[in-house]
Amino acid sequence: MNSFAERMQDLVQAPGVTPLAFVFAFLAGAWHAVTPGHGKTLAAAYLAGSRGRIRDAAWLGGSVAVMHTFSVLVIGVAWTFLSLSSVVRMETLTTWLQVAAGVLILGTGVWMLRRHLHSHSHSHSHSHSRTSRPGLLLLGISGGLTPSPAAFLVLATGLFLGRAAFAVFLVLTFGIGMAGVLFGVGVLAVAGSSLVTGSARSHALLHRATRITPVLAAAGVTLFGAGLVTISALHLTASV
Amino acid sequence: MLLAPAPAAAHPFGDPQTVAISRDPGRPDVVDVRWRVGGPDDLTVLGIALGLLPEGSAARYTDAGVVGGSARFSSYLLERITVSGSSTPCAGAVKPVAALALKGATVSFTCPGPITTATVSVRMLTDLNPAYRTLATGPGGQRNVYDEEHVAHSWTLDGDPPGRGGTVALLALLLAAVGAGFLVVRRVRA
Repeated sequence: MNSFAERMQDLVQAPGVTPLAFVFAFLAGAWHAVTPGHGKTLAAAYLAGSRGRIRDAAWLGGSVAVMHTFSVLVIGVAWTFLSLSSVVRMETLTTWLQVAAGVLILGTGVWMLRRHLHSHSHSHSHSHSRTSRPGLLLLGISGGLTPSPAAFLVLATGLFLGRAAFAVFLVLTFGIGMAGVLFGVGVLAVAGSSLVTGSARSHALLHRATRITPVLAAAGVTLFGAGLVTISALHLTASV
Repeated sequence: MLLAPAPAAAHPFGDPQTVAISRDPGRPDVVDVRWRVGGPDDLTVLGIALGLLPEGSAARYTDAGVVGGSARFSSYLLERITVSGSSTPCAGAVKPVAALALKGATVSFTCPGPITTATVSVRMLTDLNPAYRTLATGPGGQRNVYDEEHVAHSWTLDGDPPGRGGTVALLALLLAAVGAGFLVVRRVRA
């Protein structure tokens, strides 16, 4: 857990509601999204490969944040009030969520590949379909499915201390911090890919590259999903 | 957060450590405190700190047995968890430990007489790393969080403690709102 998360955790236990707690929650969420995982590379690949727009990047960041908040709330409430830990240990639950995330990503990758190959074999017009919302949504859900330990602990602590509303707002702020970073990464990917596409008109090589990019992106997403499923499954068998 | 940094920072992660405080139904002078470890790695960290496992050893599923069966672990529990009635300390004894990783360990505190309010101190693992927290539950839905700065808390062992119905209702409402919002956004965007 990083020091922003530590400060947020300390403040949820301190008396009173400090605005500073929300600053730390935002920073902790942003930091959490910066650390490996959460499909940043994937999101970038997806947006670049599907000629995403800025609003697609916003949609992606937003869906990760919403899913993450929802996931933390459900698991935090179930853990605190429904003795979730006597049903399933948190390590097992979070590993299964990783498997689920991997399956979603794998599915998205395969679907991207199929869609691209299909559109190529049937027409050579450059009506490449734009970034699709279902694909973005699936990546968003997979990125936010597993709660972050810091957000989970701050919610559980808030619930245990009878400060539910404060803790819920901290978790929301944490999600907004995550969304900010993911949106930023998405905007970079969109800007980068439109730069390449724009200059491709004058360069034959680049032109060819822009036609290969979507396939590479789709293949990358597929491989990543397969890898995540494999690693999580190995983790499950090792911990049993 | 933990001495072994990876599990706390990354997915997947383990439960926080917990204690459950209850009064022995048959004996009004006995308070039971059950400690459950968070992630299994924490038992390894503790085992190393108590000198039961070699320095720098990786987590193994046998660690719980090594730690749970040791007298050093029992004294550690009795040192880090204490119970007192109205200013008189209660004498603790560790119940036989079975399946430490899964079920935890229980310390039974026998007080000088029948007890209705107990002050329970919990300082589990904070000597290893001050960031460790313990989420505690008591009779009638009472809850508290122990950390390095909050080591003692007073628990009501009988009667009706303040209910938390409002909290649960609020959370259910919030969850429903988030879920509904998600669906509406999906509809609008689709």
